[in-house]
Amino acid sequence: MTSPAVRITNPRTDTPLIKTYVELMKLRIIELLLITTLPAMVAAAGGWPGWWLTFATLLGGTLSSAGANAINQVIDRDIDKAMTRTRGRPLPTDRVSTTAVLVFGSSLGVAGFAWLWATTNLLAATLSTAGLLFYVFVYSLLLKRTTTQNIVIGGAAGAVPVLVGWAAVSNSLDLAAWIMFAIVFFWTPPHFWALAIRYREDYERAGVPMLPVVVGEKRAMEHMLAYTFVMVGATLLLYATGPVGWIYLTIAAASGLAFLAATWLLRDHPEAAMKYFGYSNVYLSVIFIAIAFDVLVLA
Amino acid sequence: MQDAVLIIASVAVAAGLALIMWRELGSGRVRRKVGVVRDTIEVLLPVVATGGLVWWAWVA
Repeated sequence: MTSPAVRITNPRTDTPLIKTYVELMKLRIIELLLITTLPAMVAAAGGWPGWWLTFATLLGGTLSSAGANAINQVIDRDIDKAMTRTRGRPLPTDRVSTTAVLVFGSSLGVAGFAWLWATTNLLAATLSTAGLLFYVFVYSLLLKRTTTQNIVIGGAAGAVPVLVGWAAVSNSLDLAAWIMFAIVFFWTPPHFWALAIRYREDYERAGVPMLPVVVGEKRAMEHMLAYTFVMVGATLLLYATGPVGWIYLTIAAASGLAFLAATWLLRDHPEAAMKYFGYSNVYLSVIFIAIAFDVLVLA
Repeated sequence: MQDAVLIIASVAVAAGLALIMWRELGSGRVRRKVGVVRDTIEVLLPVVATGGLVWWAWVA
């Protein structure tokens, strides 16, 4: 047991401060972002990009994403307080001040830019920071509370890491990088609308116009199917034009059909929304792991 | 093989984009919280960008 003298806690809640700041970074979301970054690097390099470059890029991406997540929680603190799912976060529970979080988030963002510029190149650093700024200003401030398209356009921020990964290796953005961007971009709406179906009352209470709240679950699921079609098409486009081969094609085709089927079946089983949400994480991981595996094996 | 997959991919993307435009723009009266111009731009922006991506894939 640690003595009180060495355990730095928030006097209001007795939560270790470091735990609070780790929570602000939302590392579980970042995990998924990194799963897309590394395969993009492998694809750009046509093989293993090197341990140092991999570590540097993933760390830089983590810093930028963590900064964006922290600043977003300042902007959304009233929404977070209103929603059951998020009311336990650091700001709604007054575990830390908004000023402290703003400073923390901004510092992470600046550190991410500086780190990536120093260890990779200016393009990767700029893209990573652009993703942060897009998430804060376009998604959080402009779109989230005003339009059902919030997570469609705002989801571009979550697709930026693949561009960062590609740029870190090649200092350019090729067609394949943009196709991978499109895969994540069109994956995002079905992924988040499933969450919104599950927490529909929560979003409604908070006044956030998530599509299922505004048009109802049934119609939202029709939209989800549309975006899934485009996403699966994009995964096939990567084979048709990009650096991947038959291993990837086989996995992408099979998992794409499975995901389409899951999206179709959700229409009659909305109670399975959280299972679908979890499955969407698995699907995206499978696609990007398949990219890396294909390139590494067939290179 | 790549050509066949390119065709299938393009058809899937086009079908999805058509469905998006039909459902999004068609349900505008129900779900629109912003003005019609901004709403239309928000829907069409990703559609046009993706169309451009598919065109790039064909000409590359």
